[in-house]
Amino acid sequence: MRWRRLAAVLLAGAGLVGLSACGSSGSTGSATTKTAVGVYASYTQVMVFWDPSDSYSNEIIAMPQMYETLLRYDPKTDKFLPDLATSYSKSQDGLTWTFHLRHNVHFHDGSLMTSQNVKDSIERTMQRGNGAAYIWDAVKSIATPSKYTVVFNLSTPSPIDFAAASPYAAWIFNTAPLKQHGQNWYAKGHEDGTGPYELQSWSSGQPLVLKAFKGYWGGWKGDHYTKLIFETVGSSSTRAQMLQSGQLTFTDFLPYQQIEALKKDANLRVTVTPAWQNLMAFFNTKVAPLNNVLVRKALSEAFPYQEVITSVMHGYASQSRGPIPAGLWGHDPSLPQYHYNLAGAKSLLQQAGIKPGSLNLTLTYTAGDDNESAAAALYKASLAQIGVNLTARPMPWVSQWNLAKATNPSQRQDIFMMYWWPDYANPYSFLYNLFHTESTVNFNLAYYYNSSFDKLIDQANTDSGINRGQAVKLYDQAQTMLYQDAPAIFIFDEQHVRVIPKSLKGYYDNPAYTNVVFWYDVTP
Amino acid sequence: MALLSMRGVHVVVDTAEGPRTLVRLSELELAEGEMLGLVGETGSGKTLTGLAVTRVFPTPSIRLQGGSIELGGRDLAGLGERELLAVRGREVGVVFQDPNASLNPVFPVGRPLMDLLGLHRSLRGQAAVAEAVRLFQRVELPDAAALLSRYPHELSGGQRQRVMIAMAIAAGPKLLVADEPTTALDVTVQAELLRLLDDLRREAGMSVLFITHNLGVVAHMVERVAIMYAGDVVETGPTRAVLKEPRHPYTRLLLEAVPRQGQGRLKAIAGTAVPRSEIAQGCAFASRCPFAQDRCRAIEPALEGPGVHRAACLRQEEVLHV
Amino acid sequence: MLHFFVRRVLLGVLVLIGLSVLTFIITRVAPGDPAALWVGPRASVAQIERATVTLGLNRPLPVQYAIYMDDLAHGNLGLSIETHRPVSSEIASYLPASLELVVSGIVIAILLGLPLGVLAAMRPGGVFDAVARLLAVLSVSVPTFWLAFLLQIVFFKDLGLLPLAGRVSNLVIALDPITRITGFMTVDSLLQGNWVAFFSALRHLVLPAVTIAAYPFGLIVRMVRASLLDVIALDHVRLLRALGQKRYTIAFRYALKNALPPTLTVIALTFAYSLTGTFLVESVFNWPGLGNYTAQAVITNNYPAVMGVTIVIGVIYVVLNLVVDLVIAGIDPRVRYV
Repeated sequence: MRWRRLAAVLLAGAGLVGLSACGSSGSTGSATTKTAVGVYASYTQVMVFWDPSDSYSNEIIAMPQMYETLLRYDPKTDKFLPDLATSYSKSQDGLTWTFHLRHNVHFHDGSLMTSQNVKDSIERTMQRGNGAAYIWDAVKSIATPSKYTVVFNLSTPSPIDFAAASPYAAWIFNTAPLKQHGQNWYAKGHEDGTGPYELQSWSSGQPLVLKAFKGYWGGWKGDHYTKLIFETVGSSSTRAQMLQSGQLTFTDFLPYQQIEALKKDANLRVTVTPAWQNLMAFFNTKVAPLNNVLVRKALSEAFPYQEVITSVMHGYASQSRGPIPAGLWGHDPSLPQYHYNLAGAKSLLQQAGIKPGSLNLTLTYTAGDDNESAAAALYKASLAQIGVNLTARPMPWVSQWNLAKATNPSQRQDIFMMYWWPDYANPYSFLYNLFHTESTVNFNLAYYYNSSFDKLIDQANTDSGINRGQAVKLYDQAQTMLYQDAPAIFIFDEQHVRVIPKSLKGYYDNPAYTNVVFWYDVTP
Repeated sequence: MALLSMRGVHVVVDTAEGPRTLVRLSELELAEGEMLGLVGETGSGKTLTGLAVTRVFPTPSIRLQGGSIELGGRDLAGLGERELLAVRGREVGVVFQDPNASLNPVFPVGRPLMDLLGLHRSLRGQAAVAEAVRLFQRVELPDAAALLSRYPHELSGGQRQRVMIAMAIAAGPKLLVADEPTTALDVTVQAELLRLLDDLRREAGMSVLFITHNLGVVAHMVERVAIMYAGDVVETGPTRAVLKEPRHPYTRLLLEAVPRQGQGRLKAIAGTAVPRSEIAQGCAFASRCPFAQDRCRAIEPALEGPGVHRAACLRQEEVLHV
Repeated sequence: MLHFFVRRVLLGVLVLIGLSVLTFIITRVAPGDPAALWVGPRASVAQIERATVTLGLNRPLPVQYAIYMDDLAHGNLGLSIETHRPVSSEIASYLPASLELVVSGIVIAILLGLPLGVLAAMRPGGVFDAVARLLAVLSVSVPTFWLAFLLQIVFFKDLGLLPLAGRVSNLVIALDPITRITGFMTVDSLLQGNWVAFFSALRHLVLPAVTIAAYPFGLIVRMVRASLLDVIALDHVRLLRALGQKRYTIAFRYALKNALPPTLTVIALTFAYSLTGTFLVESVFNWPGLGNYTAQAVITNNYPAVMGVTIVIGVIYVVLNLVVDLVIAGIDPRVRYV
C-alpha cells in the first residue's frame, strides 16, 4: 500500500495531476434500463497486480468485487461477518482454527468452490511470499477434512480470523487455470474468483469493466448494480466535476478544499470515518542530542498538534494517542499524550543542557505531500520560538527512505516524517514495523531498539489469537513505553471524508477495507 | 491608329520618407502589329514602364500613381484590380527576363499553361492538352507532347523562355510586353527567339513592346525604338534614323558604348544615372551631359523634333551636327 | 533513390542506437532503486537483494546494456518494473490513444492553419493577416493546460455541449463496448458499425484534440505565412499574376506547394514531440495516452518503460522524418537524394 500512496505523492511532486485512464459521461445508476452502472474513479491506477496472491495495493478497490475472503471484519462492532466461511472456531491454545465453508459457491468459470480451493489458494500465496503473504506466517499446515471444512494448524498462536478477512493475500481463487495456462495467468489480467462481479474488459490504461456474475451464490434479487466501471481520473477537480454532474458514483480521494465546495451540492452527502492511518515523525535516537529522552520530550511538546489538525487537515483528524490509530482495536483513548507546551519544551531543553540557538535539526518528508509539507512548516515555526532551528527537506520517497537507511547513523536525517497504515486489522502492524528491533533498517526509522518492548508486543500478538483482552492490555503497556521514551511524535490519526451521491444507498465506510465499496451490498 | 498609348504615366515606390518617383513618362505609343524597342540602362524605368500596362510590379510598394494607359481606346489606369484581371493575359501577354526564375520549379511546365487555357479560353482536359501541345509547337519546342509533363529544371534556358512565350500568347493577346526576354540566353538562342517573336507578331498581328538594354539587339529587329533615361523617354523614332542620327546626347553615348559586333553589354557611360526623384528641375541628363548648358539645368525639355524622330533635348540640333 | 533510402534508414538506426545508449545511461544513473520498486511495498531487504540479482542490476552497466539490446533485437522490450507486464504490450495499449489524439490535433491544426496562413500571406497587413498573427501568437504562447481548462469550462460546464474528460462515455463502455481492433476508438467503432460509440468517441475527442492542435496551429500559420510571403515575391508567381491567373488559384494551387516543405518539417517535429509531450493535456482530459505513462515511468525510475517509450518514439520520429523527406522529394523534383 505504501507504493500506491507513494506514486501519487511522487506524481504530485513532479507537478503532475495524476495518472491516466479513461473517462466518461453518461449517468450512473440509470433507472430507465435494467442495467445499473456504478462508476468508481480512483486518483491512481486501479489494477496493477492482478495476481490475487500478490496484490497489495490499489487493486483493493476492485478485488473484493471479483474475489471473496473467508470472513469479513466489521471494526464498528469488532465482529467477523461470514463470507465464504459461514462459521469458524479455534482451539483453546489458539493453534487450531476450523472454518466451515458456504455450500454451492461457484467460481466464475463455473466450477464448485471447495475446501481444496481454499487450501490451494492460501498455500500458493504463502509459497509465493509476495505482498502481504506474511500474514500467514504462523500457519504450519492446512488440512481439508471434508469438502466444506478447512483447518489451519499454527506453529504459534495468531489471530488467523484477521488474516482470513484481510483485503490482501487472503483471496480465495481457482488454481485450476494456473495448471493449464501457467503461473502468471492471473498477472496477465485474468480473474477466476467467486465474487459477485466478473471481468468484462480491461487493458493497461483502459478502465476495468466488471459485470454481474450470474451464478453468484447471493443471487441477484432486489436492486443491485449490474455493471461496474473502475477508471483512473488523475485530476481531483475533474473527479469533483464528475461527481457533481452525476457521472461518478464514488471516488477515493478528494482534497479538503474540494470537499468544502461539494458539501453545498444538494445531490451529494459527506461521511466522515476514522481512517487507520496516522502521521508520525521519528527521531533519530542514535545520534546526540536526540539520543537524550529529555530532548525528544521537549521536541514532542513543541509540536503544534491542534493547529496542524485545524489548518492543515481542516479538522478531519484527531491528535494521536500512541501509534495505534483511532477506530482500530487496541487503540486506547485514555493513553497519555504530549500537549503543545512551548514553556515546558523550553525548560526540558534547558535540563538537557541545550542552549537556545545551538540546536539545528533536519526533518525529511515525502516531496509532493502537501499535508506533510504544511505540518513541517508549522513545526519549524514553532521550534523557532524556542531557539531550535529546523530544516524541512522534501525528498522523493525512495531518496528519503534511502537516506534513513544510510550505514552511518549520523548521516541520516534527525526527524523522519511519514504515514503508516496496517495491512489488515491488527495493531501489531504499527508496533512491529515501526518500533520492533531490526537487524537491518527497514521501517523502524526511529532506530528504537528495546528488547522489553519487543517482548511485550510479540506476546501481545500471540495472545491476540487466544485472548484479545489480554493482548490489548499488553499493547497499552507497550504504547505507554513509547510515550515515555518518545522515539517519535504521534501527530494525528486521519479520518476518511467521503463525498457520495445521495442516490447511492447502503454505503458503509469500513476502514478495514480502505477505499472499498462493496458494490453488491449497495443499491442504486 | 495606336493600340497602346501611355501618357503621363507616373510610377512611384513607397518609402519611409514617402513616395519616390521611378517613372514619369511623357508619352509612349505603340501601333497595332508594331514591335517597339524600349531601350535603356538598368534603372532607367523601362521595365516598370512595361509592367505598368498590367500593373503587376515586382513589389507591392511600387504602384501606379497617375497617367493614362489606353489600350485599344480603353484607359487601363482607371480600371480596378478585378477588371484588370480580365485584361491580364487576355489582352496583354507578358514575358519576363529570367527564364530560370519565371517557371515554378515544383510543377510540370505544361500545368500553368493548361490552367491559363482553362481560365482564359475555357479549355479543359483533352482540349487543353491539345491546345497546349499546339502552342508548344508554335513556339518551336521539340517533342511538345512529352515536354508538357517535364519540370523546368529539365529544360534548357531557351526552352523555358519559349514555354513562357507560349503562356504569354495562350489567350491571343493584342499586346505582348517582353521584358528583356533574351538577356539571360546565349547569342544564338537570342537570335532564334527574336525571330520567333517577330514571326508571332506578323502572324497574329500582335504588337510587341520589346524591352532591352541592348541597342544592338533591336537594331536589326524593330522598326521603331524609344530610348529611356531616368524614367522618361528621351528620344524616339524609326530605328534607322535614331541609330544613324541620334538627336539626344544620351543616345549618342549609348551608341558609342555598343560593341562593334552589335551584341554584348553596354559600356559604361561616364557618371552615374541620377534617379528621377532627385531631379528637381531641368534636363535629367544634364549632370552627365557633355552638351549641357545653364538653360539645360533650368528648363525641362519636351519630346520634339522633325516628324516622327523626336528627342527631349534643347540642344538636339547641336548634338545632331557634331 | 534506393541508395538515398538505405542511407537514411542506416542513419536512422545509428540515431536510435545513440539514443538508446544515452537513455540507458540517464535512466540508470538517476537515483532510485528499481529492485525496490520491483518487489513492491514494504519488502524486506533480502527480497530487494534477490530482485537485484533477478533483474541483473548487480552486473556492470555495459553488460546490462548489451543484454537489453540483445533482447531488443529480438523484439523484447523487457518487463515493466512497476507492473511486471511486458513494456511492449503496455505501450501497445497506450500508444493508439496518443496517436488518435495527436493525429486528430495535427489534422485540425493543418486544416485551420494552412488556409489561414495562406490568406494572411495573400494580403499582408490585411484583416486576415491581423487575425492570423494574433491567433498564431496566442495559440503558441497560451499554456496548454490553461486552454484545456478553459475549453472544459466553456464547452462542458457552461454550454454542456461536450464531455468533460475520457475517451468515450462510461455508458458506452458498459453497454456498447468497442472491441479493440486498431486501438483508435473512432475507427474501431466505425468498423463495427457501433454508431453510439462512434459519436461518443468523437465528442470526447474534440476538446483534447483542439487543445493539442493549438501549438502546431500557431506554428503552421506562421510558417506558411512566412514561406508564402517569400514565394509570392518570386518571378513565377508574378508571371502568373501578370497573365491574369486568379489570386486564390495562385496562392492555394501554386505558391502553397512551394511553401510546404519547411512547414512539413515543422509538423513532423511537432507530431513526434506531441506523442509524449502532452501529458498535461492528457491529465486534464484524463486521456490514457503515452505522455502520462512516460511521466509515471520517469518518476518511478521504471527504466524498461522509459527505454521502451524512447525507442518507440525514436522509431516513429525517424520514420516520420524519412516520410517527410520522401514527400518533399515528391513535391520538389529538383531535390536529389544525396
